[in-house]
Amino acid sequence: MFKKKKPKLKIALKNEVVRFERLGMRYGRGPEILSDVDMCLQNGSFTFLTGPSGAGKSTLLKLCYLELKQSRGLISLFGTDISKMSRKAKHSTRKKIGVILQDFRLIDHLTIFENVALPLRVSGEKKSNYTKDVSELLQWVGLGARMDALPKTLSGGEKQRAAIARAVISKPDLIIADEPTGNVDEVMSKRLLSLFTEMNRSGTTVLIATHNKKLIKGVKANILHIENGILIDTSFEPST
Amino acid sequence: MQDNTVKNLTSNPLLDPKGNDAGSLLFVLSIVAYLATITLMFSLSMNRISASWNTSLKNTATVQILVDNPRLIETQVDITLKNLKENYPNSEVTAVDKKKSLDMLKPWLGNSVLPDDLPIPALISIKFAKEDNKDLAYLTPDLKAEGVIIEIDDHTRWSEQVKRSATALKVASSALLILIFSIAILITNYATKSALLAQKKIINILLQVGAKNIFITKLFIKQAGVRGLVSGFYGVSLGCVTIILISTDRIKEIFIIAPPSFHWPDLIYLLTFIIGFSLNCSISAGLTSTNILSKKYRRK
Repeated sequence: MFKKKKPKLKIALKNEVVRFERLGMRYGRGPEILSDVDMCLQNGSFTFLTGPSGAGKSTLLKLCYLELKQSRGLISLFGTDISKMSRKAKHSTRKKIGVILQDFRLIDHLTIFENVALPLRVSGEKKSNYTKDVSELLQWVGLGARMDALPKTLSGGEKQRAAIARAVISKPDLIIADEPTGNVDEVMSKRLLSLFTEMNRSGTTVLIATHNKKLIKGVKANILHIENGILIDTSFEPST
Repeated sequence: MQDNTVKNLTSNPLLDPKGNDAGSLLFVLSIVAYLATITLMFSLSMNRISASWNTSLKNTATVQILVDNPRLIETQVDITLKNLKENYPNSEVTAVDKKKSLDMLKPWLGNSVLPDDLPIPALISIKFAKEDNKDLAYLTPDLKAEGVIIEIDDHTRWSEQVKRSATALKVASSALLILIFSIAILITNYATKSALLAQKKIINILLQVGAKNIFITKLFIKQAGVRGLVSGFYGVSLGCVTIILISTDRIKEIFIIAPPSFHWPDLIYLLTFIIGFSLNCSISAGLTSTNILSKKYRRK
């Protein structure tokens, strides 16, 4: 019986982009920010992560894109336990993840074009190969006229759109966004969301942390709610 | 559509060239390069002076005629000159005149008027030609047979002393050069560390978008190399100007020994120094950033 189940589990893990099991996270010797979190994101899924401020949403996202190390429990990304990953494998995994953060993380002395093209530039692409794609994407997010502007001359909304463009330019397998529409108006919110849904339709897994209830209503997606560091994922099946 | 705009987009370096007090760092590195240039030029000059002193002392000798009776002096000088010219036909044999001999005594006797009957030793200087044998051993017994008592100074004693002093100066300037280079390495290490901390935000973004540690390290190597090249050029240029200034006749008089001077072949050493300085900055930055990135920014 057990032997028959094992292959099914392997297939299931292969289809999972993110898996957290009994995950605990604390900063230093402080209290646990996340407690016994069980969660999994299926390949090609669209998930919203909701919860009040300070619930642990950003920490959970940071664990997903390898910015932090968990205090306990298991994290598996693209079917591999990260504790068993080599540095090279972690690097390859990071390249598969597009991240959009609340503080935008744009490089101040680079133009918007250069900021958006950054993932392609660091992976060794020639400028002539990506110029067209970057320009088109910037046009699409409404920054076509601001390509050669520096981030400090942009509004919060424009920076947000540039950060989103940078996260999606390399066509990642997983997009993680922390309040991606927090600084843009409703029209732009819908437009950006349609970019995410379009990418999701083409197979990209999307995880968005948001407060915006209107945003959630417009999309057919899984919703995970986190409160006081406790997350309940009803679709979760333990691996052992 | 936006082709013109795209064409005008610049490819800025990923690390901020103006960040991390780049101006101050460039200034400090230029000063280090300047000090190293002065030391290097000093070392090269010491080599030249030592070589020139040795050559001139090796090829010359002075014959001193010890005279009891001043009336016989001219005869004895003539006998000695004749002997020397016969044996060293190609060499320059000249009798040092009395005034010059007196001048040579001034450092010991001062400027006071000397009595007329003071016995001044007659001196004959020999500047050997390459073709002539430099052996003077035969001379003393030969001239003694003719009634001339001489003393030969072939400068061996001076030559050894000069050689020792020049070696000491060379060692001192080399030690100084090594010290200055070590300081340059330490400064570059420190600067790279602070650059990594100051540019932590950029490094985090680069790591986040998938840059490998080696990619970031290369950025620091390039940045430090360019800084080394620029500051090396500034330091060497300033050093050359200083050397040229102190080798002018008016300033030269202040020095007891000849001050460092600029010679065109030194340019090869100086260009090698600039490249070496830049490489030193690059290697140091590379090692420091590799070390820090693998420890501090290691993904957990």
